[in-house]
Amino acid sequence: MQKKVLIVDDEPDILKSFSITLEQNGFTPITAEDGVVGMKKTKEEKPDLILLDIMMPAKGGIKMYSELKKDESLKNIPVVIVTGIWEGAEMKGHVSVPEPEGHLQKPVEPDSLIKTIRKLLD
Amino acid sequence: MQAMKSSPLKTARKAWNFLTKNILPLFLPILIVITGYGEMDLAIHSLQLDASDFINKPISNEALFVALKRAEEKLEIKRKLKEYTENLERKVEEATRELIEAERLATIGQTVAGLAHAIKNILGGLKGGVYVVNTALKKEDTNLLKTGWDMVERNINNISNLVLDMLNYSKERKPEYESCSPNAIADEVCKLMESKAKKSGIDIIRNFDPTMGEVSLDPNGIHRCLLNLISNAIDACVNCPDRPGRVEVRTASENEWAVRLDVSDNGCGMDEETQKKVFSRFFSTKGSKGTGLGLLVTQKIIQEHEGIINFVSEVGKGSIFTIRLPHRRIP
Repeated sequence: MQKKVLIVDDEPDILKSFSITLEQNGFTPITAEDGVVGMKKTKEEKPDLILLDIMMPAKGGIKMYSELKKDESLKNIPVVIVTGIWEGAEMKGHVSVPEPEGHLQKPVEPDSLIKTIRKLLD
Repeated sequence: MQAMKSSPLKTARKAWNFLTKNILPLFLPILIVITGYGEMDLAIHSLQLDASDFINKPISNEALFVALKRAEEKLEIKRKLKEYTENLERKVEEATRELIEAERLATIGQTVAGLAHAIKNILGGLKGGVYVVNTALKKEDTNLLKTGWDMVERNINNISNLVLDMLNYSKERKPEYESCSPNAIADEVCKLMESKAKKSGIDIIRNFDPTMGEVSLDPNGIHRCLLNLISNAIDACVNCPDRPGRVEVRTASENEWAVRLDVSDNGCGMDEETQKKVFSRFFSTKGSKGTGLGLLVTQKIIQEHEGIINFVSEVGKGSIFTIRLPHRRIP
């Protein structure tokens, strides 16, 4: 069965291009435009992996990440942070939650996106 | 160190004044006034003019010795005080210079980081678009090709807007005034934004003053301002999908002002925190979509016109931005 990947990003172009990249490589993409929808879809769809943007209106990525990692039924889903802000700046000060399983800097090359996902899911 | 003997009072005063005005500043001496006229008036005057001591004649050796010793101590204190003051001034100057430099570097750093972030987002969209186009070509899928090409075009448009905003923001420029119709400019911007608004089911309502004639302003600048305001108004409505979005663009003439332009929306509105930051550099509520330059550039253009821009906003109800531009002689 194809593995499900949830993409949480407020930029429609990112949602679209990631979706197509994932489809081309044998994954089933699910999309959410902010952290609120992201949490809802995580609970409904139970994805195998989450690609999470940090800077979003409504609920941002940091808030959604800490909610995920505090929820017993969701905390084992690997999360890859995808963001344009400087490396290492995101999770500092949130010591109560573990480090994300992966990190990608925007702009993301399709190849490195797939490589990162495969490493975590295979 | 000098001591001055007083003859008659007048001569003493004259000599004293001459000394304090001309000689004293040259050598920074300590003066001890020795006088036979133990007059309170002269004593006060002497001390006011910075004499360190005042001895009455006849002088005892002891009194003179004590006076000299005291004078020496005072001289030392004075010297030290001067040194400290000069030191302190130098230190304050140095610290101020360092602080200004640090602030300048921080501002440059923030600007560069903010721009890098905005450019990275657009680049992400472009790369995604190119990937989709390549995939579509490989699969010979025309629909997918259209999707990819739309992404490329949209992001090229985004980067053009960003560059325009950057140029507007960085340059100290004078508006290029010409006589033009504010209604025509507002109509042009409304037309440009209509397709974006329609996609989200938002109506743009034109409420133009028919009596509005030609006004002297920089048409490109005002076009940019209205584009930013209307685009923001549409985004505010998109963020509040529970009622049909409505953006109204109004033009009017006001007594003291040549033209008043209002852009109002019934969108999500802004809380107090956001209202405080709307004109700050790189502040955006739009996540990766905003550059945080739009309103800053708008404000700058209006200020260059010697006009004013302000807004009223309420969470859940919407916002209204108002621009007022002053009368200018039409060239």
